[in-house]
Amino acid sequence: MVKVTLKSAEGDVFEVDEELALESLMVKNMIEDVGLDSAISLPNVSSTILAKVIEYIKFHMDAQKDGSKKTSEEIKAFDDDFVNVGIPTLFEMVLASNYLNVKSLLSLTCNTVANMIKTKPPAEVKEMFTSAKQAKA
Amino acid sequence: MDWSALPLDVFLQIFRYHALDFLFLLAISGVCKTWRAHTAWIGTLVVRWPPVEDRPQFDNQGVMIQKERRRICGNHGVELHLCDCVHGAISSVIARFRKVWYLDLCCTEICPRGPTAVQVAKLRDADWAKVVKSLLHLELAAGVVDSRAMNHILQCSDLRELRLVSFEFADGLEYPLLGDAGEFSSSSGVLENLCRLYILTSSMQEEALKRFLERCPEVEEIELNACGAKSEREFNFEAPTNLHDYDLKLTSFSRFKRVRAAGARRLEILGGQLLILEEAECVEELAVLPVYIEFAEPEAMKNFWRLTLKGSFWEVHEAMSACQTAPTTKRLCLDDDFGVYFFPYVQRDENDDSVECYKLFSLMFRGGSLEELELKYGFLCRMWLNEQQEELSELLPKMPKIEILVLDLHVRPEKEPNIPRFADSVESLISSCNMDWISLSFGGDNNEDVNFHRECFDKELFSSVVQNVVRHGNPGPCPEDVRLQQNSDVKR
Repeated sequence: MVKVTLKSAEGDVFEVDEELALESLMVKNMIEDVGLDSAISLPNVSSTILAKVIEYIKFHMDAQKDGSKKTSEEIKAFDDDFVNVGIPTLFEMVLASNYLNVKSLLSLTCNTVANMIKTKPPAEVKEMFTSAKQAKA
Repeated sequence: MDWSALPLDVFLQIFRYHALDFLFLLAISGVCKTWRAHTAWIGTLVVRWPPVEDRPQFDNQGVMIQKERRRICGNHGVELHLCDCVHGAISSVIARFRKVWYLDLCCTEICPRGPTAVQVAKLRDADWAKVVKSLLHLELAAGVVDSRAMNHILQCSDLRELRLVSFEFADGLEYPLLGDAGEFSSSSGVLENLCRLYILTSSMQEEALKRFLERCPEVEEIELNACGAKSEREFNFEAPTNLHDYDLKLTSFSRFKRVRAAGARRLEILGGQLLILEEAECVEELAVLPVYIEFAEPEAMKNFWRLTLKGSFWEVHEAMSACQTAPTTKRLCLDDDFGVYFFPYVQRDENDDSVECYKLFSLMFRGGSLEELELKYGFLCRMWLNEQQEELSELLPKMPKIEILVLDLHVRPEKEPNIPRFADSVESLISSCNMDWISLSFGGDNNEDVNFHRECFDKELFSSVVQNVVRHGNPGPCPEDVRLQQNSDVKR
């Protein structure tokens, strides 16, 4: 099995199967451009988030394989648990899935953000986003 | 965490497809300059008034725990939905959008003071000028749609869906939906792309409606709800002759209704006591609540094939008028709640909502063209056949020769039926009516049905298939002699 080396923003190295790496259209394009000899650098993705993205892709690849015994309920339970994180992490996952171009993960995380905010009153939503921004400043 | 770093396409993926309310839109516009700029691409404006948190709140027992909250403008001292401040904010958002696809000014609460919604009449000419070229969906549920507004609406050349909603005040005052909108100007446009039209009104102006419909030549679905209109007067609906191949759903509790449905393909007419159907030569399907029907020219209805009887309180003369006056009816559909009450009684007793089918059919049918019987799930669960009935042998010769029995399990209530009894009834029905095909329709992924030929009908297999459909939404494994086929493959 051919391996691909991914390097996170912090410089941590993740070695994954090529099949898994190709699930990211961005990585796929990079491999086509520069080949497999050197590590693919992902300066916009932290180690924590990259590990989560790999976990997500691996689970769904296994679930789609012939002979997989995972039911649709189990897959949904995994997804629900996967995005059950704090808003900062969720935000980083949105950005990472957009940057890496993993469509299913982008769709999952965007829907999660949308569902999270649509149950809150508008003023609370504004405060939520604004305070996060101020905290950073 | 810098939310302003959210790229535009991701921002739109999160916010565009969730029909954000106006106040919500203002809130996210205020997060940062980038987000404010991003909102220009949303193009969807939904103003639901009163806002959710201002509506009356009730506990589980229905006791009010919070009264309706009124928002007063701090600058002008008037209720916010009537204040120019809100209309100014709406105008500024519309002006900021690059294109507007979806505009919805709807009233979420009908209170005795009238519709507490943002008023359509206050939309400015500049607002309309911005929306008319791009609008696909428009809902207006706030007061009079006057001729000025109507002329603007008629300029929305790309509009696909239009919903106009009006209310009647508790004190009897009315907001006529179309106001003076029947007086279209000579330069009024035509809604060439309008597919769906929904009108709910307390005061139906028949002439104005007809003139308006003339300007919707491609409409495919018309839903007209005149429940608030005065119930005693006769209700007339006349479709203009330039409409073709559309579905019409008409709800009105006026006692007498005269419907001229030129060009209509499917009709659903709910409410009233007498329905006179004219100019119905294109009608293929008709669904009605309990009503006495007169077809003005039944012999002209050459395409008519499906009649659906809905609702609980039917009397035999009504059912017979429906079944016999349309001579080309091929399929009779009995809806979920048909026959809960049927006079004379076909139930076991007054407190029972089951339907004794031999008696029911012998009362309703007197021969005719009927070939197919479609029974909805709710009816199926209440159906029984009293084979011990002494006069059964007298009744059976009157039963029509029905070739196909369609059992519709699309909508499944939570309570599971008595499946063995259900299978017994179906078996008896097959032998009584000498049916050739039994088609179990359940809304599978590919709209597939399970079709049993009478020679393959096996009660245990049938019960197992029904049980799978009821519990799991699919028929499960079927043996080879029961084919999964498309509807069109069934012999008809």
